[in-house]
Amino acid sequence: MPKKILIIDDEPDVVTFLGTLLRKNGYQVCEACDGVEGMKKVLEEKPDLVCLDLLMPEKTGLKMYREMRKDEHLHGVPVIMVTGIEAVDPWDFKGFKQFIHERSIPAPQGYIEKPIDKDQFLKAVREVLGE
Amino acid sequence: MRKLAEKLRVLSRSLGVRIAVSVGLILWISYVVFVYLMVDVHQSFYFDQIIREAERFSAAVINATNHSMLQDDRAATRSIIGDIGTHPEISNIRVYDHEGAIKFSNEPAEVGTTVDKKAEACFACHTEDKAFWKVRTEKRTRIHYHGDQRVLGMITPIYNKESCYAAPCHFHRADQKVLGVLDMGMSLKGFDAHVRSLVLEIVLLGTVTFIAVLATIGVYIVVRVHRPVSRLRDATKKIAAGDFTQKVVVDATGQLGELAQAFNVMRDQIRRRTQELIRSRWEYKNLFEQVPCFICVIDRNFEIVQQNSYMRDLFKGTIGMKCYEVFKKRTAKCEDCHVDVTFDQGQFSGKEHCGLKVTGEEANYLSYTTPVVNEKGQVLYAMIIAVDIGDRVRLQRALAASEDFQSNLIENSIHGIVATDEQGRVNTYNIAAERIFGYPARDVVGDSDLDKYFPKPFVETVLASYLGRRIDESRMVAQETIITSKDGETIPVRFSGFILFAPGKTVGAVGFFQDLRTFKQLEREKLASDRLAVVGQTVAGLAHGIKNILTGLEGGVYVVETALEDRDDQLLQRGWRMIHNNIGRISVLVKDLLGYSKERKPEYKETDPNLLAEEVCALFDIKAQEKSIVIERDFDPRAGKVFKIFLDQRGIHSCLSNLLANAVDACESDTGKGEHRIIVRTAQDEEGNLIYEVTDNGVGMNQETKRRIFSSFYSTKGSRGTGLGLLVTSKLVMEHGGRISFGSEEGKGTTFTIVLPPGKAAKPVVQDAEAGAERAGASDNRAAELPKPHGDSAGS
Repeated sequence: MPKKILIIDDEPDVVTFLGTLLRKNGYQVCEACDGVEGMKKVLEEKPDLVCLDLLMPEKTGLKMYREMRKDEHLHGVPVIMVTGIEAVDPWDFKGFKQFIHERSIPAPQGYIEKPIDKDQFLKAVREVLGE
Repeated sequence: MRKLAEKLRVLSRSLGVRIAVSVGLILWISYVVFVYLMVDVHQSFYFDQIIREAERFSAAVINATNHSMLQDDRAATRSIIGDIGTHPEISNIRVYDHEGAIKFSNEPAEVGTTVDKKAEACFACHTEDKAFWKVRTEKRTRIHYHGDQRVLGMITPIYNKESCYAAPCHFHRADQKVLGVLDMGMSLKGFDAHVRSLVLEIVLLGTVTFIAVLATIGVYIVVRVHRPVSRLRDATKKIAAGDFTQKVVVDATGQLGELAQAFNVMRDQIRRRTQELIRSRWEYKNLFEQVPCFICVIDRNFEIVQQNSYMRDLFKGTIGMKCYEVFKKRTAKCEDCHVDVTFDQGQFSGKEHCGLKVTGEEANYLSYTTPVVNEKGQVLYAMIIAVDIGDRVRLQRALAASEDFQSNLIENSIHGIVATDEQGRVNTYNIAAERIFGYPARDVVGDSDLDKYFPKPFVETVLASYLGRRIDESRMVAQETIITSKDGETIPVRFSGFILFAPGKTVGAVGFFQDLRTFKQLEREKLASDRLAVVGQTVAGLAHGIKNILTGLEGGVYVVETALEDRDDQLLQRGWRMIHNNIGRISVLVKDLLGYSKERKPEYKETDPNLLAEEVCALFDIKAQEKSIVIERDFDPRAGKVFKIFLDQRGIHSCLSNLLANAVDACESDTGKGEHRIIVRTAQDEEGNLIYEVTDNGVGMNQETKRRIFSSFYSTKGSRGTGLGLLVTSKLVMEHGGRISFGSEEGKGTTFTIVLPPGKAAKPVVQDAEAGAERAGASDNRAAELPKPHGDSAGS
């Protein structure tokens, strides 16, 4: 049974890219363009992995992550963070790390930096899914 | 007895009495002499008369007896002699012969007796052995006493005549010169009595007249001399005793009257002078005692002989102490003693001192010394008058300190201070002002051309105030303005000016100048550094943006590859579009970045604002239509027609594009409504300002967005937005001299408004867009606004 991976990113190009990449590699893909939708999809689709873009408007990515982790059903779902490192925006990688540290939220299973390297991404996915 | 003696003594001093006595004495002596002389004269005369009488009588007798004698009729002769002798005036009569025998006499008893030739009566002729036969009458007369009567005896020689010796009796010889003498004694009783009565009369008369005269003189003296003199004396005594009340009343017109009058006048004057003197003395004494100055008198040994109460109270010195002991608490004379001058040269001398009061406080006083001389002009004492100038000294010190402080303050102030005096001339110009204006102080002080220094409105106000016109605003506070320095450099300053008043008049004006060059410089530097920072940020942001774009590109490429592999047309389209979009985004990013970081000089051209807006709308029409958004135009046809407007077309184009793009994005993001509409409006207000408005009914903004909308790299578009858009727009607007503002309601929509001035020359001051933008935070309709440059006309 192919694993289902949920891609959450406000950037449609990224969704297209990652979607294509994953499908090409035999995964099932569902998409969301923000955290709110993402949350919905997670509950609906019950993916095996979530690829979450941190840098989204309204901090929905972050919110979603927190919610996921709080939710008893969802907190076990592995998450890979897709993000730009050292972005200027306060909601950057470091800020995120601090955020989760302060709030004792468990860290995501993986980090992927933009620009996204295909091979690295696939490798991380396989790792997280235990393949 | 005593009283009498007293009275006598008093009298003896009286002028009148003395005059009287003297006069009386002289008069008496004169009288006596006169009387005596008179009597004497009379007596002599009378005596002469008697003698003459006697002579004659004798001659008469001789004649009478001559005949009888010639007859030698002795009886007749005797009878004649006897008869004559009975005459009461004849006391005795005898005839002597030349032997001295009495031949005939009225006293018959004597006949026959002889007298000695040496006897007194005979003496005159018979002084020598040989008798004189002619002797003067006086010698022939003698006065003798016959019994108790005084008798004038006269011897008359009977001279021998021819008839005698030729007489028949032949008694006498012819050679006999003198036959005999007739000695007649005439009683002087009558004479004496007469003389006596005469004398008595004369004396009586004399005495009476003497008394009368004396009395008259006396009375006169008493009345005219003694009394007035006594009065004068009494009055004088009274005056001497200090009583000036008695006026001398002398009713006389002569010298004494004049004297009395003069005396009264003198008395008056003396009285007045004495009163003045007394008053002066009293005043002096008062002054000496009460005046709030130290006064003391010191002798040549510098010992105090007199001091007034003020000094006593303050210095507690006593008479006998040395002046330097008391004033300066010294044991020896002061080195700078100036009383020496007074003692040595008899001159007035003044000096300032600092001594010690009893309380231990410092005493500052001004002392003056004057010499006190005796009639010979020798300086015996010096009077020291010292005025306490402690207050003055304190005030002087305080004033000096205050002035020092003030000028320190002014000189060291970092702001330029320029002030004018009452005549409108510059009297204060500190170092900071020199640094700003460039004019050296010596050229400025006294200058009355205030336009050089103060801003024109202030100069006008100052002049109006000096002229006494009422002014509404006597101060300008913290106005930004430009001054022109000596070298013609324009220097931005912050100016505060105040007019200085004293009751009823303008006494000057003062201006404070804060050099804003550094400030402006800092502003510019900050702006530049901000831009640099922005650039720095940009670089970072760029990385971020580029990463996204790269991702997109790489992704796109992968998708295309995959699509080609799988011959998936749809996928191919998608992939290609990804590439396409991202390339577009690169150019947008670069443009934005460049647009923001480059300081582009606006090019102002006369523009039709509606045309410009239409261009931009047209650009977006297609995209909008794709997303089912309608772009409505609401252009004011008068815009740009009534007032010409000069715009930086490229800049404004960018701004409008940005706004429109944002509006489109907002509508796109808004999932709440079905129909989306963007309205683009143009308008021009009365001042000629152009207004662009872009309104959408998109997603609106929340609080955070509103706050951060103008800060760099804040984007609501997630990774799609560069965050630079509005920043660039606001920068462009501000460069234009305009304002950008917005209003938004979350879920309802947003309106952005740009206000542009008609297009004057570029404003010289560029403010910090970031700072302006920050202020645009907390509430709706907050304008991201520049503080207007001052001194220039409105219209931004």
